Amino acid sequence: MRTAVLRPATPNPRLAPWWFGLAAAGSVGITLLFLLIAYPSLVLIASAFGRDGRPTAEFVLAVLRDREVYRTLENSLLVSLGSSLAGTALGGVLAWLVACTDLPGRRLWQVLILIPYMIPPFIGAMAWVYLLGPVGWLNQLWMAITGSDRPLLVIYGAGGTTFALTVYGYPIAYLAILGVLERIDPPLLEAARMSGAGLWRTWRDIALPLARPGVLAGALLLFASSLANFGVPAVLGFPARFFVLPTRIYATVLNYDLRDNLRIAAAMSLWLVALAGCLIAVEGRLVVRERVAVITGRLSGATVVPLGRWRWPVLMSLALFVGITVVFPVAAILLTSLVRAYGLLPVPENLTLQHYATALFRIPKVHRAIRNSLLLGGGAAWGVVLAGLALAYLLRRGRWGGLVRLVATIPYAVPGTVVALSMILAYLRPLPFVGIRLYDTIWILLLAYLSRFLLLGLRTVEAALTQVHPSLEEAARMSGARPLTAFRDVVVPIIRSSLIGGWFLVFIPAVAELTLSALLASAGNETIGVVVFGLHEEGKVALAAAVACVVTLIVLGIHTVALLRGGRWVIWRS
Amino acid sequence: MGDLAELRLEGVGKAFGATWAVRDLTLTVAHGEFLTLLGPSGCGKTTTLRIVAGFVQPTAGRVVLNGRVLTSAADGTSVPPERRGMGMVFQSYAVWPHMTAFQNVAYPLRLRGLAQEEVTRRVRRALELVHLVPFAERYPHELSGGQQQRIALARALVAEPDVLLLDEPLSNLDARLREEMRFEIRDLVERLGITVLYVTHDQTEALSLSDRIAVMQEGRIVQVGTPQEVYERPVDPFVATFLGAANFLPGEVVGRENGAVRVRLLDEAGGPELWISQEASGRVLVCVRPEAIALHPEGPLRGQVERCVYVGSYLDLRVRVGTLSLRVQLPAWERVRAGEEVRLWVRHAVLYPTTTLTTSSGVSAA
Repeated sequence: MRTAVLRPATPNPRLAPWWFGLAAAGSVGITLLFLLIAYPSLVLIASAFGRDGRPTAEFVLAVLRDREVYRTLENSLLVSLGSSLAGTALGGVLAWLVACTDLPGRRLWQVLILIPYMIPPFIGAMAWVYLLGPVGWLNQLWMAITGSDRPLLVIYGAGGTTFALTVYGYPIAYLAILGVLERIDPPLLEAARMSGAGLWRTWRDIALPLARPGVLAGALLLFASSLANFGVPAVLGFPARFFVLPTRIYATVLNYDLRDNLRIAAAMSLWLVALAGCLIAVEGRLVVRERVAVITGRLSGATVVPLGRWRWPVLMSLALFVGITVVFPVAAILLTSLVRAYGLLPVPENLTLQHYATALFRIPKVHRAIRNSLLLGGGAAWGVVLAGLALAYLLRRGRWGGLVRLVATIPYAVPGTVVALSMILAYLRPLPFVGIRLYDTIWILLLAYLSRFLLLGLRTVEAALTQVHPSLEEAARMSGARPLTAFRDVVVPIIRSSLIGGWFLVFIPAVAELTLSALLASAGNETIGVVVFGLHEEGKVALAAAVACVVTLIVLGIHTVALLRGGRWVIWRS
Repeated sequence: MGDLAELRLEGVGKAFGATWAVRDLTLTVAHGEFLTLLGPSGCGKTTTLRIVAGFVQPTAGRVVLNGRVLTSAADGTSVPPERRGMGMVFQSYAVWPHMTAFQNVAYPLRLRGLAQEEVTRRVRRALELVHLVPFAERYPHELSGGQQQRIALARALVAEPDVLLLDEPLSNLDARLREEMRFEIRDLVERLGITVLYVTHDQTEALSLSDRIAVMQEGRIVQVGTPQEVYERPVDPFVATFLGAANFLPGEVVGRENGAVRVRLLDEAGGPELWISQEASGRVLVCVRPEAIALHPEGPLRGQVERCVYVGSYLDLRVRVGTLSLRVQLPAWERVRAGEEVRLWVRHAVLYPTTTLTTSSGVSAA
């Protein structure tokens, strides 16, 4: 029987464009890396060290001499250190309770513990202003009860910022620590029991050392996230004239009276860049140490810690904790958005839906901002996933991996405020040759989002690819598929669910984004985060609360969809 | 090492929901005995081992070591694993990645509060036993799978436990290393004279290591005996096939004499007859291992060689006898070719009532 089977598979002419697609994807990928990251970064550095093409140390020296900058730096470090320590302790205890003890209702607690993670931090900070601002609900209650004319506690300033960063940041440490605790191979603990160790001894000698890299990684992530956070110190710091580096840079960029304000801001950014560099270096050392093999497996009956008589105290503390982190703030936002005027007693005759009506139907920019945010989030998510695929594919066969990965890490490691500033500096003037000005358009936001989130896409795809055994692709090649065809027909379908996960990983933070948009959004191109922040800054409290409610609902909805699609909680640092 | 121990399992059962993983299991492991639980995956052997270790509380029964009740389902007694005086080697080795080989092995001694010199001395001795002294300061990720397994073994032995538990310790090793470790474990255990409970699904491991084997099926022990007993006199076709290849031929008892029976194999031609030293009557199933068949010029079975494969240490044949097909293993020096007519002699066979096996006849290979 003569069949075509014995012939070597001939190239399928229909697939030829895919091969060109590879080259095209490659060049587009490299161009994007340059436009998104390399060029803005270079412009930022050039702006800090020069003017009109001539090098000058003027701005850097000015920043180095400025005492205010040192105070800001100190604030940044204190706030980040405080929230990172507190958040890691909190996250560690919670992760341990959930993963390693017989806590009743684990699944429910797991969801409740992560809710603060789903609330955009600046909205959480606003909620605390409604609770503990000078005329916040709790302070009013206090004054009404005690007859005092002084509020109990005002959340503005260093303490409040640290508190809010902790409350909205601890899930980062929690997820990192939960990750390692869940990956400890139960026989490792059982072997300790067989060696003669009791339950506590086993935890101390085996489990804790195994979890240490996760704890350190969590603390580091949380530190970086707090250091980079703009929204929380903006909401809680500005009223008390309390600045951290991101908010100081933001204020400097907006200070049009200051000569060369952008260059000074660029010089200030170098502090954040240096800190980010240190963090990456420390992180790298940690990863090297973390060669210990922790493998999969669920803790069995013998290694689960019984809470015993601590059961009820633990449950009560958890309930109180969820009350403070979730119930109170959410209630505060809801209440504020529903009373006729902020400060009125929340009795039925004072409640109204009028703020929602105004926000959604009378103020066109709210409408527009919601649309913009969804479009930008979706665009960024698609762009990042596709770019991640293209880059990961190129990296698998090329040898520029180290460089590409380094370049992609820059905008993720560096605080968003710095990324935004570099975008302004790079694209304030029309592009050479084509003469298009990106600043003042929505496209600069898309560029900034892509640049900021690119690493997430790359990492997601690369992590997913490690799950695909090379033999699967090789089998496709042996069946006659070209490299890209094999990639498309075998690899992409296998990692599809990871890609969807990666899509949401970008979409969710992008929809409620504030840090980049605060500096890059222009009239007509607002994002929803900027609108909420703007209303809050203008003192339109009830309106801000109403829109914040809508945003929170949208974000919670997307989270739910992502989770229902079988997604997993992934660590994202703002 | 510690006092030799007698380990007793009395009517032990474990239910997960409505399904019983282990059912009414009674077993005694004598002082210094090496007993293997052998069975296919899911037969309850690992659950049994974990009940003995104290990681699983049984639904029924007791575990008694030297007269001391370790586990009792009836009154909820459960001595925690660390106070049972046992050592255990896990399938995944469970060598702690944050400790060196030395530290791993030293850990049980440190928990017992031994002085530093004593710890060092005994760890060295344990490492010598498993030939790992030069690797004492290495971390697990710097060691091969076999070396990690040796650490696990040294760690389990260093505190001189009464009983050593091994949970499929060789299944993650490659074939050559597995064979090497098999001999090493056997040597070590013989030298220490320790009581061992070993779990495996590999019949070669079980046969070559054990003093006695307990074959398990669906949560029950179906046969306990020495390797020879379970291999040569399996109680039923399941045990026979689980321990090695076997031919199952339908037959009928047609006569008896001096404790032996004459069995006629049932094929269309009215069949050849064999003498088998076992009591039986009526329809039977004749179980013959391939290596229990030999060439003989006057052998009762006449057949034609359908296939002959040279395997190095033996010849693997398929021989058609009437309508039956037999698997036969002959010494490699025999000169036999496919298509040849041969006469065969059965040296050893076991009979089962036909009711024990309705699905299989002819060749069955494990």
